[in-house]
Amino acid sequence: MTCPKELELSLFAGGDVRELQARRITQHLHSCQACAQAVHEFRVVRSAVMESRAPMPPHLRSALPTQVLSRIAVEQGNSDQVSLWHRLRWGIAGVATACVSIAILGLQPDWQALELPQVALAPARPPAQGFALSEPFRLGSSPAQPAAARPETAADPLDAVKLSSIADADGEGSGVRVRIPSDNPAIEIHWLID
Amino acid sequence: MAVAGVAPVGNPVAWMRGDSAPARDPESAQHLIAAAQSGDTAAFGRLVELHQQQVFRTARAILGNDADAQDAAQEAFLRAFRHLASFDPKRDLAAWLYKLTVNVCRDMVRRRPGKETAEIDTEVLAASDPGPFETASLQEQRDLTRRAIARLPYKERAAITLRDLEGLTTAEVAAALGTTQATVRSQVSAARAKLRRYILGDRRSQT
Repeated sequence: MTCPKELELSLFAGGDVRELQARRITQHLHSCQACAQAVHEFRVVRSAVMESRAPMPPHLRSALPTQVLSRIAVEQGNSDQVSLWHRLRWGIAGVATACVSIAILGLQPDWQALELPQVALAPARPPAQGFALSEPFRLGSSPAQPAAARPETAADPLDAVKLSSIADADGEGSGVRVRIPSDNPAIEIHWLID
Repeated sequence: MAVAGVAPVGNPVAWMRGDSAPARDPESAQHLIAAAQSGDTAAFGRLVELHQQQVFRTARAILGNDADAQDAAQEAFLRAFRHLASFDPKRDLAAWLYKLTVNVCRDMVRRRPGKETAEIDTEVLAASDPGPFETASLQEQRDLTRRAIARLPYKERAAITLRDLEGLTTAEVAAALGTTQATVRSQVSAARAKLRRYILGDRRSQT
């Protein structure tokens, strides 16, 4: 039999080989002094490793449990603080959300879908006649400008949109007045653009 | 696993030396674990007392000194406490602690790569310190052996520590290291060969 490899002998010395392999190596050792010496040395080394296993120093043995428990207490303290902050944070967020929701729902008038008005813009032109802002554009009332004076735009592609130029009360500024069609013929909606 | 309770049953050396043999009664260990799982830190403290020898010894063999071993032992027990709720009391606590300890030591070694020892240069060591190991005092033998173990690559160091120093079986070492038995055998045999050369000198030429 050829000599087993060194690693195989090291495993044999530690009892880490299968029975059949161990029997074969044992047989070889009877006839090979070199391998027998190697196995002996591996066993010496293994014993040395086991002998190096000294007990824990007494002062550390008495201190370690206390140190561990102290660190656990610190961790638990931190954990309690964190969980308290988490509870507070989520509580504050919940209250804030509720307040905002109530405010929105309380202030919001009846919801309804509004159709966007068709709007046509015209470049500002000097007014045909003076125009007071306060008078013709009171909400819910007809403009002071006579209907006949208003340019009808029945043929306008935008249909029913009335345009006219305006001037402020001093006759200085100019802008655009837009009449927005309404389903209610008694109501006219005007939109002023400076 | 043969290390049920705390004292590894598969390690007669520990038994003969009278090392702290914590919770040989599995019922007692299970009771302590259950109490600790329910938040009883005093019960966990008792578990620390019972298992600190194995954790500290393993960490010291891998890390090479008492101070680092103390830090590692603390961290290993802290990790154990953090994950205790998910631990099955029917499992072997000692085996679990070995695994935690090895993982903590691995993390510590990774964090300080500058302190990681290089693989043993067998030629240099054999030439520089081939001294007569057998005639040295017991303390000198221990010191030399510890230095030799400390200079092994990490995986071999962990494997040889658990296998030859703590006396676990190959299967138990594999479980603790999260690897296969074949890998453990390879690591252990390589470690033994290196230790042989370091401790006794390179005598291959004689064999």
